[in-house]
Amino acid sequence: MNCERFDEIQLAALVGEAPAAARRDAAAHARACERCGPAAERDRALEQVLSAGRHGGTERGFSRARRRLHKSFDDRRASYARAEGPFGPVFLARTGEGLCRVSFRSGTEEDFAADLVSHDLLPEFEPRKLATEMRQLRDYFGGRITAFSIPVDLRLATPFQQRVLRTAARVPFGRVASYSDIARRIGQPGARRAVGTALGRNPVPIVIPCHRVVAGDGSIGGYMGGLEVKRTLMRIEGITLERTPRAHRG
Amino acid sequence: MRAPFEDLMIRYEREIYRFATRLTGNAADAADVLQDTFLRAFRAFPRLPGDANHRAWLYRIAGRSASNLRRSRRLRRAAPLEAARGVARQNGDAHALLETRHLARALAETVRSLPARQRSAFVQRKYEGRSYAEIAVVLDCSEESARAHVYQAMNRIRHTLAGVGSRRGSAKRRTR
Repeated sequence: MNCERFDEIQLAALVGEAPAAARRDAAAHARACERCGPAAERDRALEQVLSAGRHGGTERGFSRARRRLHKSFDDRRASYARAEGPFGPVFLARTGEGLCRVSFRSGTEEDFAADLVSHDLLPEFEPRKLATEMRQLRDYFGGRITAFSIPVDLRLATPFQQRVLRTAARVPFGRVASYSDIARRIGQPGARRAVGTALGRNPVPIVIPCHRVVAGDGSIGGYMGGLEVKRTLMRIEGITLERTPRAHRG
Repeated sequence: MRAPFEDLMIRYEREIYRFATRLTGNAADAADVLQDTFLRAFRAFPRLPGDANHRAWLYRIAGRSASNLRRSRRLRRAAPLEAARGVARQNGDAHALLETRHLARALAETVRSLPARQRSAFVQRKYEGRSYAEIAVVLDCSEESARAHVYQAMNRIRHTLAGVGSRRGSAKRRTR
């Protein structure tokens, strides 16, 4: 037995894989060796502390961590539903805070749910939880209401987009504002293009009426859901533009 | 979409928390790792093949999450006091408590500073009693590599702690 072999055996013993005979040989070596005697003692202490290291936390620590975990998932729950619009199906989703997503782009229910997941939301098909939203949407399409009274959760928008959207939300039914108007109202008159982009990413179109924002020259501007949808919404609201609509993004 | 993932979460949260505690050495970091693990898992879940080994997959994410946590900020101090008390009670004296506490802290710090794969392999083998075959699945490596990771980790721990006063009377010696 040399010191190198001693180290090998001690290491294997710590891992739990040294045969008893080898451990006995190592112990005998330790008794006779000036270097390995203290090392054997240290290994014994390490062995003890290692077995205590199995400690995997307390029950209280676990329940606290678990509560936090579940709360963070509860905050991400999103109920969704499918409604019919004048231009095809409309998907809606809401969190505990409010309506967070409206989509009428062609796509299936699975696409809509996958889109919610990609935003860290936990989708669940629960139309009953969106009864108010669906009713108001139907009433709006049918011309029976001119404003929505449902809470909106803008968590899918950046802070800048939120400012733009809140400002756009104040454009009344049947009226229009230009991209520059909105840029001015948020105090960034030069941000006309950024406003257009922010409106194009509106997570809750129709309910936040980005369709009421048009180009400064009176042309229709852009619309993420397609200009046909924008024209339909304007028709519902009796909006007529001075100029012939042409497709370009403001 | 919700039900299968939440089932998975409820099934493994306790085990992952224990693993995270052993990886990080304290409850607060373990809670962070637990949350981060399931959030990452949730994002990746839709792309996970149907026949995937969920346990191994979650362990892999937790191991990565613990090492990201280490990189992203200074960790809280390891809290192996409970462990130290347990050992000292067996030894039954106050000096031993001090020494053991010192050693237990040094051990926890060393475990945390191990490379991610060594740390994961070491914790699974030594603290959770997993076989090398199981560890190999988690680390997506051969059994020999899994075993090598455990030996390298233990070797590092043994060497690092050789510099830490563990013998009676040497507990007050500064170690670094």
